[in-house]
Amino acid sequence: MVNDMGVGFVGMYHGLHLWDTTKEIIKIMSQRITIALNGEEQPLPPDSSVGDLLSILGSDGKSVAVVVNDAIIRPENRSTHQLQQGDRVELLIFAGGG
Amino acid sequence: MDVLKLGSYTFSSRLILGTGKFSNSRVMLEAVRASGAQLVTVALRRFNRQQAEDDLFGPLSAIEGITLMPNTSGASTAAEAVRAAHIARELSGSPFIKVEIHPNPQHLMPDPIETFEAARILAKEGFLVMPYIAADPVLAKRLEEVGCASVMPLGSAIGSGQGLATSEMLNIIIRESTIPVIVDAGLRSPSEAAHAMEMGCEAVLVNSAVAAAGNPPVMAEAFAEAVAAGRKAFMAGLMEKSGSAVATSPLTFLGTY
Repeated sequence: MVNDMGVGFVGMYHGLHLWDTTKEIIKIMSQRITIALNGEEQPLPPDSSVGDLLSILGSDGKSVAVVVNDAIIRPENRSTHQLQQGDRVELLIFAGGG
Repeated sequence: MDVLKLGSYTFSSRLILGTGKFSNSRVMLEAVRASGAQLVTVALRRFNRQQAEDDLFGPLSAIEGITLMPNTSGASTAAEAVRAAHIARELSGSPFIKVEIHPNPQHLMPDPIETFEAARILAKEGFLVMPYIAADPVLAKRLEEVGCASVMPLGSAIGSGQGLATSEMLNIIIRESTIPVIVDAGLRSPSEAAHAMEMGCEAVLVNSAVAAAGNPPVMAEAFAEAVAAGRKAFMAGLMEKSGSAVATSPLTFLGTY
């Protein structure tokens, strides 16, 4: 993951490569994909898996059902199932109901 | 032993508890424990990072002897209900599904056509289908024929507390049915639950009556006792009604003194 501190660090110690680094960051940023997560836009780093998405959301995924484009993604496939630009992702849990 | 049989599952408790509308999960869990219910309903909801603690799967599964019966609430067509059932089974690992399709939030009456279609598909897929229906004996029979595990006709509108307003139709359904009849919705008091059991219902499902009670855990216990008493009375066999008085004491002694 890239953050501001990383940029400063790289810039300070590798001054000559600052522009290259910036270009790299811009490239990564422009490669971010957007998925529809429970109906709302969610940007993600490219090559994110379903498992990555769950960790970004702070969920261990144990009691969450994952549906990508109407297909259920079983727990054993979550780390390998890569999300694509425009994927519709639904995360569902059990709540109170009669 | 007298047990409730649903598919290959058996339950000693005949009280099914809904988990909605409780003031918080702590009270709900306390009520579930107090009720002795072995089947509890849950609903699917979108995951929300801010309300992660609302997830009930963990805490409910931690209670010994609990089987989850997810519902398809929110579905307004058979296709949506089938989709919800698949997702719910993935989460619960339970074959039970309460098919609940009510397109109109004003009265929450179940759609018989969509419910039938969803039940037919899900029963074929191996689910133990528990359809929430209006108290319609013809529909109940049709649902039995497509392999439902039970039928769950309403006593009165969901959350209304109007009790067994449909008792005449319920009696017909109970008489005709070869699968368990479970009254779902509308009950307010334990005496109504006992009455339903005395009529021959195999179980009752309550939610609002417990969740909206002054003291939910105590009310849950009261319902459990009423359901058990009603069942016992049904099994014992109620006396025949008579149009006129029938004396319980000899009426001859004073006259011959």
